[in-house]
Amino acid sequence: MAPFVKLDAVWDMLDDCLTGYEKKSSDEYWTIKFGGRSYRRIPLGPHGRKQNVSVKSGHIRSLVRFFEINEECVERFLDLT
Amino acid sequence: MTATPTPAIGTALPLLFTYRDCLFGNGFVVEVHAINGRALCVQERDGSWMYGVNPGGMAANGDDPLAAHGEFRQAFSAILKALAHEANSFDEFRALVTDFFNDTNPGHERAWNQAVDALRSDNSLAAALQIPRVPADSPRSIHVEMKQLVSVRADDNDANLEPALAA
Repeated sequence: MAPFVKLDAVWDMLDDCLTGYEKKSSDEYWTIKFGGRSYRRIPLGPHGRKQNVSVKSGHIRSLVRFFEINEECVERFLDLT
Repeated sequence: MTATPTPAIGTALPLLFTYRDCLFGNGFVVEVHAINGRALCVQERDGSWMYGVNPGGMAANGDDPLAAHGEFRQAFSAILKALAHEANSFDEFRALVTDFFNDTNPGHERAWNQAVDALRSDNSLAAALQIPRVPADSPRSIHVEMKQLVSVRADDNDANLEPALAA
């Protein structure tokens, strides 16, 4: 299991596997919205808003299960197993 | 949750938690009392993770279950504060908090139920953890109430309550 995943890869995954999602950032966290539901507190990453930051995989595992995103689709972009 | 031995990787603990928070909203003081929220504490290779079941839209991690629970507790309070910023009225805040708490994480809920079954069949694990046990089907609820200043007590500063194993 990779302990971190690239946030850019997460966005690519969501673009493909959770089409229509919205993301909103606060000072330190992302909120992902889809279908009237919200997943909160995905860290922006250790370097704030810099490009291609990494986040701990557990946050994304939980996000995937929250929205019941197709796991085969997720695996095309991320190693969360 | 008192100090517990770090479980083996893959161990999943079904937890129930009761939290109380007092906070300021836009024009109101409010008390939020979350009763028997559900979380799944999983020992992963990268540490302990607390995955929310109700509320399902959050997770937190730490080096061990105690640390993960501490992070989860802080994250829960931080989300309530964020919702207080979003809401322009008490009614709006109450609706946001209720939706947040009741929004189930279906993937983690399945794992939580499996963990309850596993715990019921392995008393040694529960005994080793030294966490109080309560019925897994204990009723869950969220109470959001306007706080009148005459009823504010110093005890309101004590937000943390102990989690319990669901079995």
